[in-house]
Amino acid sequence: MTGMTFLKTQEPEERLDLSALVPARLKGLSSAEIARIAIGTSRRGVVVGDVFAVSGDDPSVLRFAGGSPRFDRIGEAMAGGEITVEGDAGARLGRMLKAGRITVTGSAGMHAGSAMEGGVLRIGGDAGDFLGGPLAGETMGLKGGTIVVGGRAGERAGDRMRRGVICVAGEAGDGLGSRMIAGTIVVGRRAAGTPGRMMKRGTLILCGGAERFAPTFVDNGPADILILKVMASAFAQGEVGEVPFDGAPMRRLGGDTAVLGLGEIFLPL
Amino acid sequence: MDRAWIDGRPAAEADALAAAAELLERSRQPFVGGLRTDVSGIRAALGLARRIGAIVDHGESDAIYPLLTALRDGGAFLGAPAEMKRRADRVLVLGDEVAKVAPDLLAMLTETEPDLGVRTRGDAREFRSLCRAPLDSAGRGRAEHVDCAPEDIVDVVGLVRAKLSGRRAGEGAVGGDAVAGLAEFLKGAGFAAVVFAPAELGALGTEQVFGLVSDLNETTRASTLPVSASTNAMGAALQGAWTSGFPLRVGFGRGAAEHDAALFSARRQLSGDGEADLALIVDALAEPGAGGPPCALPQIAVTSEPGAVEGARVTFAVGAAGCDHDAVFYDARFGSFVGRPADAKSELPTAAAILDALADRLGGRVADAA
Repeated sequence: MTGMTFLKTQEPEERLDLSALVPARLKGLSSAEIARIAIGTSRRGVVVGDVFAVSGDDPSVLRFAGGSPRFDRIGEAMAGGEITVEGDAGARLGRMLKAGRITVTGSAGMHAGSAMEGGVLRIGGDAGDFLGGPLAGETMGLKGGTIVVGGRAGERAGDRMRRGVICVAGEAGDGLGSRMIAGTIVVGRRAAGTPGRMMKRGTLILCGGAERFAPTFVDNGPADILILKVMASAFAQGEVGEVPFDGAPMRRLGGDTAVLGLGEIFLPL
Repeated sequence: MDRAWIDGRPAAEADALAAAAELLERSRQPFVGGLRTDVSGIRAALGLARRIGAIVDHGESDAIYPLLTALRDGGAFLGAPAEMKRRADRVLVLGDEVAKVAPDLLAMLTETEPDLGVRTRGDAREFRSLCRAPLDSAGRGRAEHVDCAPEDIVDVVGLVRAKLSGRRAGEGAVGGDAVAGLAEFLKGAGFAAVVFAPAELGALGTEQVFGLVSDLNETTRASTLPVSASTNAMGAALQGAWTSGFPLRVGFGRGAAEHDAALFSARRQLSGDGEADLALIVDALAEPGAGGPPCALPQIAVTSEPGAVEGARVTFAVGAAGCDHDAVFYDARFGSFVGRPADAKSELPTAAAILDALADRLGGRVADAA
């Protein structure tokens, strides 16, 4: 058996809902049945066969040969298996992912990894706004699993995050870690705006510093603590990989004291 | 008097309806927006949108989305202006937009005194403002001003929250004494009202203000009066919610309403960067609007000011709601919908009549096509 490939045959004119193209939903379907799956979001009724040429027969390993910023909801609620996107992904990539692995070589749209519960999401390029964040009205963002972004993250990454790890190699947009409940976010370069606004708990490790901090973050001075070394080493050996801090002492801020105030931000000395 | 135009040339209304229906039918992804109309106009617009699989948003929804976002994410204590007028003994005004957007509300609060509540009635109302420009007048009451740049207001509100709960914090932009003064002012109120414009403070800032008022309600009474530059958009959002389950920014492409506050926003769709390839814009109010986002798409205009529309493929002149015909609008003073009789009855059709006529023409054929 070989993994299943969805070769993009034309650029979509409308947003496509690809949430049906996950291993559990494709299992046992013939290629003709797969070609008839509705993926359009307009009244035109676009189906898989209109946009993709499908080959291969193992639905537990899926490959999108060619991506698009309009390929929405890839890997939604996937509970196991592997998806690779060679190119860009649209909105809600890997939303509610439970287990398995999603890799995108290009960039992803808004709400990538939204309310994810487990598994690994890797984005080679940039991530849009609300990385790992909840949709409107939801009370929790990322609930578990690992998100690794090679480029920069948009605004409000880690909003209402509850558990898990987000690692962004590049810069982070305004409002990083807003309303965070718990969990860990590592950013390699500078965070814009005021990170951690209204965070209750959780940890931000900002290796490139931040534009500014709200005055409701209290400077605790240099922290030479073992946990930073333990975390750097655990990340290096796990899914996250090498991180831009090594256990050397960092400056610690505590906040946001406008709310519970049990969160912490680490900065280079 | 001409009432319809095709490509800028006067046309019979029936021909214009046929031309507009054909454009909508051929459109890959229509957008229905503007929505500056009354309740029956918005009902008709939503009905048409559902029938043709359109994306829908109000032209001024940017003015209300920070409020809607904070409301549905975290809830809020929301006061009705008429009740705050009778109960609030202390009023905190945050930001300079309030005086621009809601001068009538400020005047109502400064010119009256609370007459309800054991702790609040009978005393002159006290005011604090945290912004750049002090209040013009506080009536018989006392007003104190704390000078603050707009970008620092949310931080200062956070500092007041930290102060009220006894948590440590830094100095901030206005100094510790001013923060302590604001905290005492609110804590000592019998019933505090916090007046602010969510569009000025953003969604997170609005949530910070709602959080402050929620904290205050642990020990005393307090509520908020959020003000917006577009009560018409707020009414449309409420109507959208009771019609489709979502406060606008919905798409009916797959029949049932789907909501995405970013992808389905008017600004994105009308810019040409979205998925829409045709816009139907309703603009049928007598008073000038705040101005919606620019439209880079081919347009069908349903408007009470046909002279102001340029380059539309099809234009319909309609009456201005509440001016040329009786209308019902959302009214922020009451927090509800209120009727407004016409100034003088006009021969012009209503926006709802044109939209319903388009829906009638499209119903069968669109259903067959789907």
